[in-house]
Amino acid sequence: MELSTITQPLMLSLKVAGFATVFSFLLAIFLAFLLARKSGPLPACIDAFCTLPLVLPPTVIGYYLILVLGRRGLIGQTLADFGINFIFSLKGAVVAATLVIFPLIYKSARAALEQVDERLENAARTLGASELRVLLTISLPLASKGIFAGIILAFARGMGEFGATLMVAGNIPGKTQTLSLAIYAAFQAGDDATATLLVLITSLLCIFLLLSAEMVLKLSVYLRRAP
Amino acid sequence: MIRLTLCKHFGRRKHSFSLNVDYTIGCSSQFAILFGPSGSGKTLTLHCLAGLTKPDQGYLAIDEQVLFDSAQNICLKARHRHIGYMFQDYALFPHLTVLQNVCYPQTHFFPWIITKKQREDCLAILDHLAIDHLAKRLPEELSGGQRQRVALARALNANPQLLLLDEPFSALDPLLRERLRYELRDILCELKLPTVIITHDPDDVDCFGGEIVLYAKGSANIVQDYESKRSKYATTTQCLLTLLEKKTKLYKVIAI
Repeated sequence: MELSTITQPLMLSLKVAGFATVFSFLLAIFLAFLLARKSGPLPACIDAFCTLPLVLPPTVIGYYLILVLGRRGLIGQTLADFGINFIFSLKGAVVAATLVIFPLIYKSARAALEQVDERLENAARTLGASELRVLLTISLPLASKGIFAGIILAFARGMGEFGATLMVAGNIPGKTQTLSLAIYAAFQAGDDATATLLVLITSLLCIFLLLSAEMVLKLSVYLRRAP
Repeated sequence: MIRLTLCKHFGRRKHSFSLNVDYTIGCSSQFAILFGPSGSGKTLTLHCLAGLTKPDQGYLAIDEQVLFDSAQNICLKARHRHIGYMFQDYALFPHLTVLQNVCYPQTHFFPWIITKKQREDCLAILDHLAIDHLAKRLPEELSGGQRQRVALARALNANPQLLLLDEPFSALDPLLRERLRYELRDILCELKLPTVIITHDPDDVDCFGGEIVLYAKGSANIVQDYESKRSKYATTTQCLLTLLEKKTKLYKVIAI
């Protein structure tokens, strides 16, 4: 067994999950900020739409993505003219993972932002802070724990993304074959040794992630208390 | 001088609340006191004044500066009003140190980045309020009285043209309350800063004096000639209670 059969899917998984987490984080914070403490039919609709990827089967998300980003898709056609292609590429895998993990960050970010004491935000406003300053210096730091928990969950979920990635990016070894896809491929090919190894690596990585998240939270409390 | 005409309506049918006030304060005294039972609209008035709540209708002006005018569609944002607001539980930012809290109005964007001049100015204010030794503490490590000082220092550091105090002493124990009340009055007198104070406590009325606005069920009126009315009663509590009762009765007569 070559080392690359393990490192390649591992690196691809980390890459996909990493980029997807960053993109969905930015999008989720923006939407959570817009929708926090808002009620009414329009925010409710947007909220439902944002939660949809959590309940839809990943294959459905993948199918939608192909409809939009495919070579004959709504945006894909125009993008193809500029030489940008999402289908069967790493970019496609990142987009698919971004969409799948987005609700995890969005939900936790919105809940965390709504938990922040409104009086603190109001106090900052009376002290002359703009809405952006209130968000970045008061709301987000105070909501950081909840948001951080969402990010870790999302990253771990992104590591294991299977359905949507398979639909959009395919299963090309060394190019789009992430850990979960490599496990499936090895299992299908009867290569049980590789499959077992990859399964163990994935499990350990996810356990490590969740544990280190706990550590980081503890450390942040400790650092804050230190003089 | 503050001219204030406000209409704000909340809720529907049974649980509705309407604020309907119209008065002018700050003509004869630096202090104005909003006195009345809970749920009579005092805090809502301050929120409207500070720009944290938008009234349905009305007019708000400090001296010549119009803050809100529904007729002309003017509504200045809270951050442009230069009105200091000290919240009931002081609303100190729990993730920032005392120094960062007090510097917040001066720091450019991130409160963690404080220039030398900002630090010196801030320490001067802290020194003036005798809390400079607390600069590096977090709010959770402060006592009630210290928190109040920090909140005051933070509000003052924004150079407000008007200060709003929402029950400034209710979070303190009675003994401390007695002492801090007079200290706060002396500090504000020294600064000659116009101040609007919300209170349930007749002792606050005794200490700060000034104009008194009585609140009941969303309406308000200024007590005319308070001193002579006060002299007819043994205690401030009796006097204010009687005045409040008269006002509620009047309100009921109108309502029927």
